[in-house]
Amino acid sequence: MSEVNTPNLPAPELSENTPWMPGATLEYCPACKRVFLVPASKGQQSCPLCYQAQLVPQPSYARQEAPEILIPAQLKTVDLQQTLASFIEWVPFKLPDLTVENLLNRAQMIWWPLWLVDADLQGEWAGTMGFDYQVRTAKESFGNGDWQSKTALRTQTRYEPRKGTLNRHYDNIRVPALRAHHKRLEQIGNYQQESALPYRTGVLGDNSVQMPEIEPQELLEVAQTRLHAAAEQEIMQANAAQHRQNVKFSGDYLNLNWTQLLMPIVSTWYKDENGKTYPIVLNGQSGKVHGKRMASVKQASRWTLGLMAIPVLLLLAALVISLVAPASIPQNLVCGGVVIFFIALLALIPILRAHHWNNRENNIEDFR
Amino acid sequence: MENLSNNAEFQQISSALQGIAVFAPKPKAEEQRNAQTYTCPQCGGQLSYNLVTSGLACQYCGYQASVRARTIGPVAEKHEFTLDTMTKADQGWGKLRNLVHCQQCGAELTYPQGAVATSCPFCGSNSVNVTVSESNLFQPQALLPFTIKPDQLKQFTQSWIQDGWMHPSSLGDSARMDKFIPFYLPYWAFSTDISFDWQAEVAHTVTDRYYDASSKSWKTRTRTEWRWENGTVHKKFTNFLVSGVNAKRLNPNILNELNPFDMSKLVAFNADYLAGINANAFDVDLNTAWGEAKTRLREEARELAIEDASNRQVRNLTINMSYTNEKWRYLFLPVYIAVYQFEGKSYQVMVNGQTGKVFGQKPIDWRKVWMAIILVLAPGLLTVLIGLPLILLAGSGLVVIMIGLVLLLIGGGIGFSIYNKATRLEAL
Repeated sequence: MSEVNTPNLPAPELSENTPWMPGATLEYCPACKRVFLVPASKGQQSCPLCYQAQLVPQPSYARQEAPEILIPAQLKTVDLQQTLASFIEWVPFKLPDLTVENLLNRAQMIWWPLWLVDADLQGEWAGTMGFDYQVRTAKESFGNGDWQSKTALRTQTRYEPRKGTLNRHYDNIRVPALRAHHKRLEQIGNYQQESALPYRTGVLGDNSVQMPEIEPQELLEVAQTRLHAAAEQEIMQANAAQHRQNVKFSGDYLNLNWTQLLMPIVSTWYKDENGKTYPIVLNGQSGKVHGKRMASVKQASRWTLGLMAIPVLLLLAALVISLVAPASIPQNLVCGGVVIFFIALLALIPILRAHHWNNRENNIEDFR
Repeated sequence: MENLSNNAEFQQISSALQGIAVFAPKPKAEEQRNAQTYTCPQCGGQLSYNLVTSGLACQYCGYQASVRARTIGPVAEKHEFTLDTMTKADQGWGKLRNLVHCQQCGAELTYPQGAVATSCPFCGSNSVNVTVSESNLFQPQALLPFTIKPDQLKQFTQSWIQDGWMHPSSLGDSARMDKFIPFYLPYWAFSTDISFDWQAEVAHTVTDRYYDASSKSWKTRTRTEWRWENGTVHKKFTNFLVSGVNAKRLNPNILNELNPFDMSKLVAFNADYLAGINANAFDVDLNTAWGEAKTRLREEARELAIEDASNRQVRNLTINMSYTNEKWRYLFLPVYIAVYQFEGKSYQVMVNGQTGKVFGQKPIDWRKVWMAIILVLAPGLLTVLIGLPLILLAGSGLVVIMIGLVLLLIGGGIGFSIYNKATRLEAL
């Protein structure tokens, strides 16, 4: 816990226009409630993440400052093709719409945000620092009546109280801008932050940008926790310590400045036989995929019906044979009955497989 | 905001990052142990530690002063085997500086080898110099004061000297132990936890029933079956004492027999306790002493492994052992040392200055020892001798000879044990 004095954030400069993406409009998905900044060239389109509804204009105010940095998309078309191909490879009774070509044609990139906080921390700190040191020890072994001794080193930690003052500036401390930030990272994996580049005009291309869901004012506590963690790390460095415990800070968080980091995702979709749309989303940097791969129940049913025809034909054949050679009726009936029963059972496999697969896929959480 | 610059307990230290000031607890001021000279403030005579009154006393004018004792017991500071410590120990830190300037008369004194307390031959004042090391690391941190008074020593040693039948009968009357010299001996006290896994084949006695075809009957037989067993043992050792005195100067076998000392009575080191009392700095360094401690700990471990097995009869024993929490401290422990003469030879005796336990060398009367051995062998020999003619005369002598051999065997065992003990006592 830290005793802090945080100034009220200055009201950000808001406007309906975003100078860093001229002509773009803020649009809202009535189904998933996400807000996007859509470039003028896109025209009217369905929600690029849930595909459940058309985006509707959302007259609201957006922050004026451009994003500070972004993680460039590194996924090439070839990688995307391979990733999607292997993603849908083992889907049984594939839906006609679920093809690599369709998915590639419908793929679009979307940028999603993370807040970056800059701040000055001024105040006092106190805590316990741990310093590693080595002691000489020995490993002994006894065998064949003799002792063998080997000198070894063991690392131990000595903890000492420390106090001090802090006057440091922290840049680009990351704070989630979406409520489902962590869930999204679980679904499509983390981004390598080292590859982040400064934002330049035009670098976003003709792609929509998802807008932050949580405003900085709501995130002060989270930001302070992250700043405190960064300060703790530096305090440990300043002490030349290797461990820390119970570091407390009392002071001020000054000159808080909020900007954004944008990260790429690639989104695409397919439809099932009932016209329901399923999104598939990829991490624009690593290519990790998240989505549901539904099987075609209709195709599976056709297979089941086709297989069911075999026992029916066999049954008819048995009836004909019994009319021709009535002496063998009992044996034919028993053997034929068993064979027909097992073939009928086998015929159920396609439909059961499709249902089981779809149940499993339906348990996969929707993209957040 | 707290003003850290004026904090009495913390001081600023260097920081590895600009903008972050670091304050650490001020180090405890290292106790400066300069050589101290003890002269009576009343008459200028010798002031020394009086073992009877447990304080400083002047033998000329009767002046007395108490010694400030701070009992620290088991919490006495312990050091770890850090690389820094071990490097210093390897470099010979702690080696005695044997020159001291007498503050009373200004003479430059040379201490006897190893001594940290002496009397000035010019003015007679007692002085104590424990500034033996470049840092306080290798200076004694604690000591056990003498609790056995000199007048109790006669009683303790008298009963010890008369104890045992292997010694000359005239020993009690002839041996004169008039002069017991109180001595603070340096000891290394080690604490460590040992953990080890052991594996061994353990003997199990198995009784079988089998059918003997020749006698056409069921019989039982007993055999030893070796079964593999293993286990894990953890054991904590505290105050494992190793003498800091070279074995050539004081008999280590006698020293070991003086244990145990009650470490709960440890007091913080105070030079006053050493005034007028002999005290030696260590001449067995930390590494050597720890090596000896480990040798003894290995044997303890082997014994513990055997105890852990379901039977003490084991073979192919293997042990893998590691140490944790190894600590050491350097202590002064109280011992009275005396030398007595018997038939032209000198014998060393020591008394634990805290418990009064006496141990030392005593001459062995080998005539008594051999007589005893003959006595224990005699019944067996005689029986065998009686049995031999009985075989020729009556034919029933075989049983007598068998009894004689059994008695001879028992006598041999007892005789060997007597001989062994006598040899061990003589070798002290």
